[in-house]
Amino acid sequence: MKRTTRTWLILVLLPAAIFGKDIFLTRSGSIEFFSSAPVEDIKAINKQVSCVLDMETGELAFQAPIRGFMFKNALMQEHFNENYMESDKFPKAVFKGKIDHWSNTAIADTAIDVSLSGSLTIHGVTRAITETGQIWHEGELIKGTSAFDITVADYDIEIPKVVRNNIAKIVRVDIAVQLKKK
Amino acid sequence: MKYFLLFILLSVINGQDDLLDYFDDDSEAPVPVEAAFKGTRVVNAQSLEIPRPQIFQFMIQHRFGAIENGFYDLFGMDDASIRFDLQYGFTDRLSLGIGRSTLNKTYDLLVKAKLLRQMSGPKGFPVSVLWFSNLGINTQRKAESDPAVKDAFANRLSYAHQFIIGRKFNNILTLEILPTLIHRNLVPTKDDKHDLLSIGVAGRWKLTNRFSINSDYFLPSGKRDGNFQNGWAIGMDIETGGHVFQIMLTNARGSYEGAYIEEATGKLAEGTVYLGFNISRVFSLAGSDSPRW
Repeated sequence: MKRTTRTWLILVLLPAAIFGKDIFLTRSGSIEFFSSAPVEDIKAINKQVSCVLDMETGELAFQAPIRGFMFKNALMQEHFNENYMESDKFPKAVFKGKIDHWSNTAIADTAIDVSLSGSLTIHGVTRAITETGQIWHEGELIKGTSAFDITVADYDIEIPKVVRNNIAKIVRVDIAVQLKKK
Repeated sequence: MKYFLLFILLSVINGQDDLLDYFDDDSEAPVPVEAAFKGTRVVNAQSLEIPRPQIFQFMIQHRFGAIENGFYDLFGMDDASIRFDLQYGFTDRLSLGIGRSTLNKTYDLLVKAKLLRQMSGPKGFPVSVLWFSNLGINTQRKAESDPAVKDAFANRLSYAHQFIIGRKFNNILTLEILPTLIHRNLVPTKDDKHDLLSIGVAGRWKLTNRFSINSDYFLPSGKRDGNFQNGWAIGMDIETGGHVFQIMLTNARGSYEGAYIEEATGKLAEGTVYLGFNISRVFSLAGSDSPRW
């Protein structure tokens, strides 16, 4: 091998080896939310959720397009986007954080409980959250789930008095992802 | 060695420090623009909206009497001219409906379809184009001295055809124009034309998420008879969940196309204008989610 070629090979490969990351990701995770109020229960599901996990550091990020939430009732979906989430202004919800105590976390075939902490941005409002989740291996895949409650008012989403019996002040969110090695 | 260091430096700069960089940003992909208007009517005029798929919309379009008598009849509130409207969304592009008006005891069957949809983003299609048509049936009992009507059912029929071309410019402003053809099988005198062309302009200015100011106006093409006034309406939308409530002032007494475009006679200066409201309620056949999920 000529010397220059070898130099170039090193130049290209070495940084990749040093800085290449062990990344798992998906673009088709799901988030479901449930609102249970005296008059009605409302449910929507989003199957366009992106999630990325850095296996070296335990850093984790989620991104969900707000318009990806599908409701059974099309008018509810329109109101969700137009009146509550203002999707034109705030097109996505983002979580950016990490799995706590990553160095002590051993992912196995059976689910283990983990704690997730980071910042959640919805409707343009960013808040620090800490929630629990589960993570496990399944063949090549890493699977994860988490379920937690979101207080709507925390994210400056206003529920008018006339619909307060239709929409819950606190909604439950269920997240499920299957991550593949990048 | 110099290059080596430089390369490492560049790698560090280019490295995906932020995990969010792994997400392709395809949120720019054009999607149909929704909610150009709150309701299926701007005020009188047809809006760019139809009931959503699997949704029945029931609307009452209520116009009081003329405000000219002031407190005597509380600005016309003793009087009423109503149109019931039941419309169903078959797909996100097609709806059919039926209406019944106090004015001339007219039934109407309507079809309203989205031919082209405005798409989001700079590359998206810039306007929505809808087609609207209705068939009006005047069911008033006619005197024996009105043989033309007695003789043929066809003489009771009228038609309206419209294109509704509009754009939601932003969350606040939506504007549309409505080239309109109205055909009446029977006209009052032989000087009157059977086919009447006009063009409407309409728009809304949204002040909050649930409140907007709306207006529409129709400009005729060609001659009309002496009583004819260009139809106009100004009103506001108030939305509360499944209801849209619209309050307006208009110079037309009826709420079907032939009435508010070609039979408006009111003059603001003379007080022959009408207060009114539209109230719509939607019913979803898809149902809300059962408590048992």
